[in-house]
Amino acid sequence: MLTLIARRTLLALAMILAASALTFALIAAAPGNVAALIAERTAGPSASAELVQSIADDLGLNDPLPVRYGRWLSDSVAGDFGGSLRTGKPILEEFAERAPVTGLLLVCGGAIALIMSLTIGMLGAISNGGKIDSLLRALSLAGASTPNFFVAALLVMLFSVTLGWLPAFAGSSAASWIMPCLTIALFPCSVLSRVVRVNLQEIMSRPFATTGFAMGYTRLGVLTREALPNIAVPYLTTFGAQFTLMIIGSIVVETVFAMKGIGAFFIEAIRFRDFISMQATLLSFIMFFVFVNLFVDIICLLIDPRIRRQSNA
Amino acid sequence: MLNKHSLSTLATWPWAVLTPVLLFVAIAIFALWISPYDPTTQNYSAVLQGSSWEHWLGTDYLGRDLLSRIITGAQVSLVAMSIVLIAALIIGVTIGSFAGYVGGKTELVLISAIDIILSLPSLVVALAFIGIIGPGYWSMIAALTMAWWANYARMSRAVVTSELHQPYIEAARVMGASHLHIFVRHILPHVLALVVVYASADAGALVLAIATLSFLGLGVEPPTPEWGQMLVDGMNYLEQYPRLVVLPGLALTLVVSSFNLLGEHFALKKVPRGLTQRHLKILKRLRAQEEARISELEASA
Amino acid sequence: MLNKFRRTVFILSTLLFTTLATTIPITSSAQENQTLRIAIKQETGNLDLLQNVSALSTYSLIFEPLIRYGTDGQLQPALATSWITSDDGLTLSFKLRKNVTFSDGSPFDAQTAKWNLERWMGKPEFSWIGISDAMKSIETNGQYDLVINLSKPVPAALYELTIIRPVRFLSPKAVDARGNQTAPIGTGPWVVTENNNSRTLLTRNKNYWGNTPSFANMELKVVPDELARSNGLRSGDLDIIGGDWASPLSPRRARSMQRDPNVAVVAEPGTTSILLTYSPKSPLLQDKSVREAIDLSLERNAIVAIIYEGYATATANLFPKVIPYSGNRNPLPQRDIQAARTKLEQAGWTRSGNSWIKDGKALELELMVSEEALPGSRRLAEMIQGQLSETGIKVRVSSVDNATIHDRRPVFQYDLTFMATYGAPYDPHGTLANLLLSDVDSGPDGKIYMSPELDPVVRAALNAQGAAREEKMQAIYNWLSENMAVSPLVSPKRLWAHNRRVGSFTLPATDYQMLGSDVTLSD
Repeated sequence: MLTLIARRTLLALAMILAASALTFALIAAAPGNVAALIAERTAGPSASAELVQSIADDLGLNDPLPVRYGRWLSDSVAGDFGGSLRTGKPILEEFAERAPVTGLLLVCGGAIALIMSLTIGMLGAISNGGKIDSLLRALSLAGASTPNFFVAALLVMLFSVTLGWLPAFAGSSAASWIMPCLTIALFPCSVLSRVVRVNLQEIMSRPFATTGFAMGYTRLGVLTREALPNIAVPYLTTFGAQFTLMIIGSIVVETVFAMKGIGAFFIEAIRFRDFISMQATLLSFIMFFVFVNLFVDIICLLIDPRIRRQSNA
Repeated sequence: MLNKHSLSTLATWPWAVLTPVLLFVAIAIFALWISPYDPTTQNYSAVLQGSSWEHWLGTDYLGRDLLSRIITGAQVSLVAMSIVLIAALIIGVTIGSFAGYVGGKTELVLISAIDIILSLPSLVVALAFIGIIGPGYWSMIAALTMAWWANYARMSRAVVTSELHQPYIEAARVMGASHLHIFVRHILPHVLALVVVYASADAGALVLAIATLSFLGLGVEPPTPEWGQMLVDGMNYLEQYPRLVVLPGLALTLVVSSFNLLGEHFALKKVPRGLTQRHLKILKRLRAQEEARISELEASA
Repeated sequence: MLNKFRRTVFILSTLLFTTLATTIPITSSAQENQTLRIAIKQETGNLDLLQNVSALSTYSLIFEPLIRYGTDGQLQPALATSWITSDDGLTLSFKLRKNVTFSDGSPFDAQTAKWNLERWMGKPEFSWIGISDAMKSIETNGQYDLVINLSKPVPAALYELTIIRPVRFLSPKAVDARGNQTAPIGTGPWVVTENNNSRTLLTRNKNYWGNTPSFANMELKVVPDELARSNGLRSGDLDIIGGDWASPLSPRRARSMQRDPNVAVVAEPGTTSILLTYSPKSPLLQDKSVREAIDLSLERNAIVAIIYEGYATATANLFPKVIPYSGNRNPLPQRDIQAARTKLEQAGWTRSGNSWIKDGKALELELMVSEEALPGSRRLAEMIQGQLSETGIKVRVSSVDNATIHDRRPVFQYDLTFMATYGAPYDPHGTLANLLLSDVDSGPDGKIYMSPELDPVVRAALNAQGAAREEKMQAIYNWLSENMAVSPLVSPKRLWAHNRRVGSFTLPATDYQMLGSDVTLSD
């Protein structure tokens, strides 16, 4: 079992290396020379070629690409992402300020998606083909098709403009987090509730469910006691994928609700063409995706009886 | 591939799910003729009007007819989406098929690159490309293409690898057919059949991505009417004229959900029989890949 | 069964009790009602008079200048009761107000005034203030006479002394050994009691020399979002919102709030202008006829109606009339597409389809806007794009963030953009010196226009004194019009709103300040 986990971890690290190398190479190949950009900011568009050259030397931009990549990666791992081209502030400082915002958003959104999707999926399975089931199915299709910026606008319209209950932006109060978290949770919740529903349906047609009924359990009883543990692996796998996809949600949600998180930072870097911040943000995204997937993989390994049995043998 | 048998099964297929998509495509194609006004003409004497006989859906803050803007918005979305889909299909099918057909180390390198791109959400890849090449309409198209092709490449490769093992390919080869001939005549149709079906369901996600980029101010530029952009501009008028936000948002949601509905039907194997029946197995195989990898690791452990 | 019944009874009674408790009106204490709550868009900051970091409007509650800028642009006595400028303009003499103490009890006199002025006058970082740049020495004469000697005349000197920062006065006890400010202690009507990133609490200065406020406390609540601020006002969480610097209120929101009986919207003529500026480095705009054609295509009244919802005045002047020395009023140009086309034809442009071509180049311009730098500017840009397209001038709107626009403005990486004049009390000298003189570093603000021919005209006006000043100022405005150097669009109104708790309400003299002199609470 341990070797299995170690193998997965190695694979994940290799993935991070490869993906970061690819993004680094692409950004290095971008039109618009970083040294010229910095020179322009300090000396205007008439920056002399010497100035550009000396900045390039300072940054080591004239070294071969693999050397630059190695240096960038080792600096980044040590926490030194360099300074933002836009603000001049160290990127690590920006990350330290912004990561808690995005982190809280993802965790709250993920928690809502988890609870809601299990509830909705179960309700559908209990109703099984009934009116509630069809309604929930239609709702989850709509939920998966509504752009999150539209969801955000509708929530603002309802809770801020019409009812005046919630602030239309993220501030210090806890209430201001409700709408951003709901917005970001809707899409994963819709997808996950379908996963729960479809997998439960499949499992309920298996013989042990019939045995359960024969033993006098209600449909709900069989669902919770027998079926639910059996869908854990597909559910967790999809949950991991959806959790990483919430990064896209966070980019939109942070922009709409004026939150200072990593997603908003990424968009600002793109608008400004701040290559250094973009590289750093992409690296943190890649690490996030790979580690979430790794984490889900390991959990699945730990809970999947088939795999457990195999490794004990 | 179409024979009488498959035609008869086509009739039983629930064509209803295709209707909304076809309606959207028809609106987009005939936008110029059916929109009652020029969508960019400003009329300051008729701003922020409600529904009337002149303006069915009212007008926006610059007196532009909302119905015309929504209809033209459909065209803008469809055109951008089609360009990206076709470009991504061409690149994806070419690279994927090449990898699958050639095999060996080339395949390994290509498939690794594809896997890396697929490890990031498409929109993040697209955003990164826009950051590199700068914002604008054609940047958006290019960035989305770069983010979308990898999926088709992976799928094409899977089809090619499986088809290569079919006995009739062996037969063709024995009969002295060239590689190109074998590929174009025997393999490509299978690749396209699967990939096109997948793409038609994928179109919804693409429409959404275009709207999201425009919403973030990185896509379609004014004055071109685009739903995401109309929505963000309407946000200023949310209190008194929620119509300016709700209508483009609703149009977008309807189009995306009709594509998703189509996708769900494909996923439930309600694909027109005979067209791609065999290839669905490949789709299934792709989905089972994760499981395969797990069992592979089981064995090694 | 019985158990279940009991539980239900318990839950019901709890519910009933809670409902009763919340519906019974809580008699509010008089103390609580005496707090005025104003929204601010960002946290106040440390209120250091020498650092450019804190929110400007809060300073005006705590710190006072020698001279105050009055609502109509008149100079009013504050910490100085009278002042005389010598005929050669080189000596400014002030009689200081007697019996004034800082809120920590230390007295305000000529010595403390001199100490305060010497903290910034003559320092290179404050050379943008004429009087600081020209300061030769500061003398005291007895306890209440202060004299500032200058090396050259500074015609706008008295106006410069009315601004917010750094000219106001700090208690000499509120600094550390190195002279850095440690606490915001001034002579003003309010004293800071709590200051953090969500609010600033102030209490009435009991020893204030002037009229003490009629209410005891003030809370400045940080509410960054504009919609949230107007919701806060309507729900009664806030009493006053508004002002460009305190908590901006958009014309759209002001219009929709006017229908609310619990809220009063106050709109008064503003002191800034919104300008469409032409990059002096843009190749296509070197041609004056193109600039003229653009100006002729503009429909200013539509901008007032649509973007500003009527809360603005269409203008062809650089400064609104309320600004001193703002010159003769230019007639509002009428939109004339045909005349605009004729201008282009005369300048050698040829029409092809719905666009213009000269020397193989199409007439296509980039309009750079940032919604963050100037709210509403994206829609304004879209509107101008539409107006110019009727003439056949193609405009590409590039929407960028605040940082980008501040980066691209000083290096003129655009063809067209929007700028705003500084407004009272900085104008006219502030805008003229910073945004029109080519050799003054205006940082991220960029320039309205720049030309070697314009520089001497502006400099002559800024140095002119007495009667000549008016004439020389007019010469700048004439030069700008004759060369079509800039297209002023509108002068937006100052927008504030308050709820019915506020009895009487007057606007502060400028939007850089927080509170008018006659604001009272009605209950």
